[in-house]
Amino acid sequence: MSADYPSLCTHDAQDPCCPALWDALREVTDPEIPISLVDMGLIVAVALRDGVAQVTMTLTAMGCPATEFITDDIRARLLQEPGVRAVEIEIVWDPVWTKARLSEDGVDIMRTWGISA
Amino acid sequence: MVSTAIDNAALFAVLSSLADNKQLLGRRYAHWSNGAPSLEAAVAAAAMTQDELGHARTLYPLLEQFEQGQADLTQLDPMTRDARYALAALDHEFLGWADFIAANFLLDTALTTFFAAAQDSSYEPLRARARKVVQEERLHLTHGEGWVARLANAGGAVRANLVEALGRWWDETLCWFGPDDDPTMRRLYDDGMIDATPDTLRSRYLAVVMPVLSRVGLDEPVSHDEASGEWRPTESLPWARWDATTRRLGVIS
Repeated sequence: MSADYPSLCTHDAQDPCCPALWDALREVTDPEIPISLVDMGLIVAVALRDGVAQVTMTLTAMGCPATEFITDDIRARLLQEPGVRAVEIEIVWDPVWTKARLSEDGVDIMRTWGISA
Repeated sequence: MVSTAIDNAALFAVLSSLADNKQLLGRRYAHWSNGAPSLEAAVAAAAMTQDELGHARTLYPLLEQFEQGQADLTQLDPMTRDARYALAALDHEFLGWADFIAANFLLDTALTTFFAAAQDSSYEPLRARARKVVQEERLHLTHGEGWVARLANAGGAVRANLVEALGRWWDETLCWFGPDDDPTMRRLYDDGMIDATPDTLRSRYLAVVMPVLSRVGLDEPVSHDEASGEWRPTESLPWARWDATTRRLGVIS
């Protein structure tokens, strides 16, 4: 794994919570608002098993027209990570997304863009 | 090889009906994204279109898991499916904006009543989707309530159009839940997939729509028992024309 991710300051690269993958996903932004999928609270879980990154995520709306853009961007970004040879993405509706899933940074970013959060 | 497909005709039929109604509702809403009476209404129509098609999109794949679905794979894709489990009222484009509002306020609310009853479903895929659908439908109901009041209070031909439109959707929407002994809904209730019987679902639905209609003086043939809190249609529903498999009204033969 790359060694320059913020989460690796507090987590070993082999940490099962996959800090590097979470950090990589912080570089993937929502297609409609310049906020990362992580700060938006769309990423539910991340795991790495036998080189397969398994991402469990939700969306703000079931009819999200940007679903494929988002999943394509996740795949493209995670495949750049050392040790990742494939990406599996599961979209779930439980937990239900609400603005309570925004990170603290996410709330600030949304407010910066004039969106109530 | 042992089949892992689910053999449950009742659940398959209801999921099919939910998916078809959502899919067609979305398509009918879409037409008005470019023809609503105001820019704000057009934006709302577009947003609700997106939601309805999204709901359908998450329901159709569930059909693949059923033996009943695997029997005819062409019926699993909305593009090739020719089985029609949606209300007959959705067979044609809306006659006008009042029809949009009637479908939004009545049919969409009825389907949401079902999803609300499935939020603790023993069938996990339905449970997970139901909570999200209920969340998204709150705004649809607000939209429907607001426009029912607006059209009704306008009076004259506008109010008359609304009354006619509500009439076109009233019976078939009430029928969608099925008669109280409907074996399909009863099976779902008995299996813990929903938490109410058809009559209770109908009562819950009426408890949402009737106060709104009453506030604007639109009284429907419905009784309310203050003691039990239950709402009941006071006129018989057209069960002779209702198809229990497709959950829609047919023509009088």
